[in-house]
Amino acid sequence: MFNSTLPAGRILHVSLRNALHSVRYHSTGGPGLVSAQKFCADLVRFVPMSKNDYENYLCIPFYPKQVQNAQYAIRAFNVELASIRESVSNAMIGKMRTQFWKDTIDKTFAKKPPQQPIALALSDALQHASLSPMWFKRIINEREENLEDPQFMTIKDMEKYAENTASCLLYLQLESLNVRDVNADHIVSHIGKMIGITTLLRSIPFHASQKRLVLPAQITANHNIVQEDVFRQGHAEGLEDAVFDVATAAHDHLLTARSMLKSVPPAAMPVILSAVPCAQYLAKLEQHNFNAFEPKLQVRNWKLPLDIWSAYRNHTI
Amino acid sequence: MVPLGIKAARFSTTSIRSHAAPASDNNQQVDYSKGPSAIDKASQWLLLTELMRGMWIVLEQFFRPPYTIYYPYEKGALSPRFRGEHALRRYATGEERCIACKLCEAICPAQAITIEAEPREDGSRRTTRYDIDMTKCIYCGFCQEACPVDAIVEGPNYEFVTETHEELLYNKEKLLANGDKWEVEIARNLQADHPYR
Repeated sequence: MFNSTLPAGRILHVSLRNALHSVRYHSTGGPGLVSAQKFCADLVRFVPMSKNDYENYLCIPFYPKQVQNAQYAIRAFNVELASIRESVSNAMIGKMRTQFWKDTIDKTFAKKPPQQPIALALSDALQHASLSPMWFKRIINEREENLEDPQFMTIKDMEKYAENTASCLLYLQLESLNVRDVNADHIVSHIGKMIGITTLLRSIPFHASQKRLVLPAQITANHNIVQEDVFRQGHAEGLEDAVFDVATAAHDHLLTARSMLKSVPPAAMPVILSAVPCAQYLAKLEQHNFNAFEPKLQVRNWKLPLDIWSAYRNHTI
Repeated sequence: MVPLGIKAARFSTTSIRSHAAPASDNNQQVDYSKGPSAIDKASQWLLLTELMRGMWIVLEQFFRPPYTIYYPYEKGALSPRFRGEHALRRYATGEERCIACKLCEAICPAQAITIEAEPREDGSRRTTRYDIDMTKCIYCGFCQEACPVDAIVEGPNYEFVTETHEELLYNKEKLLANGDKWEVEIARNLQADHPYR
């Protein structure tokens, strides 16, 4: 986000904004639009440790130029919603925030966006692409239900959560590319589930530090895992087996997606690239014997930009 | 342990065990051939080495930097979560962040916040009045948590004593000025505190 907003710098910004008023670089947007789009890009860019956002930032250049700003807006929307849980101390305040986002989506689709950068960027994106509010609402609703930290009961619950958060984002991105294809929707649904489950696996150490266990209760019961051991020692008897079970579910979705890759129109490829970092994480997890607490798993892969590029070129994930 | 009541009944607070050494311990002879010799022990007693070592620690402390800080010029470390004086932030463009959603007013348990809003000429909704009664505020930080655009924050400033009550009834200008003054610190604190940001 913004590191320095000294008054002197602000005066410069204000004069820049006034200059934009007269020059009008954009035919559609108002004066704040350029900065709103920059805000969204910064929000996606400068959250390296957060839920995949640096990785999705790397995928955005593969989109056609005219819809890139829409991707930043969609991803920034996701960052804001995902960060609600960690910035509130009780679920009630979180619900107020999600209600704000529901209202914002309503107003943005009614062409009266509030003066908030993400809302402005989204309303600009709506002029270049037809997005449906349904996906936004589903993301908000799922996140709202998740504010009270219910533990997932089965892998199916986990998949439902992943479908309603990660897959919905991918549907939105497909819509922004104007790809209407059953096969694309199908593969993206599998990829979204894979991404959602992998993200939960990745965040096991963080959630454990917050005294939450994200593994489904059915699986932890099967392997007789003592929650308190996970919280206190970061490792418990049978945790690897449980992580293996969950990772297998994610990997199954990845395999299904790979088998369907041929039938997908090439225009949908940028959306599918989001699977690359997560597929790499799953491979790494297997290398480290499904120990989710292995510090090497949290290290960013410096070859990732290259890998995404080659995946795009070779049409593989 | 012997309960206190029984101890009092025996007119003695020492436990029976320490009245005399147990019989089994009498057989244990101390082996003086190992450990410090009698001369060593005597020299420790007679030359007061313990006293000297204690004084040595005092001398070490004398040359170390003091733990005390010269408060108005030096300040102690603060957590990024520290909740001090309120501030209203702006975007990098200089535009106010607050969009008058009134969530902070609704959540405030002390009802210290008063907001009035109306649309501007360009159609954007802004506050015309944003007052915080700092003498009502209980610094719970709920306003900061409820704000969906990170506009109202509790910054790291804790030095805002005044001489009159009226000076603590903050209005929008004062809050925005606080935001301008503390923006760098506030942005850093927000970044440090939220891993998912």
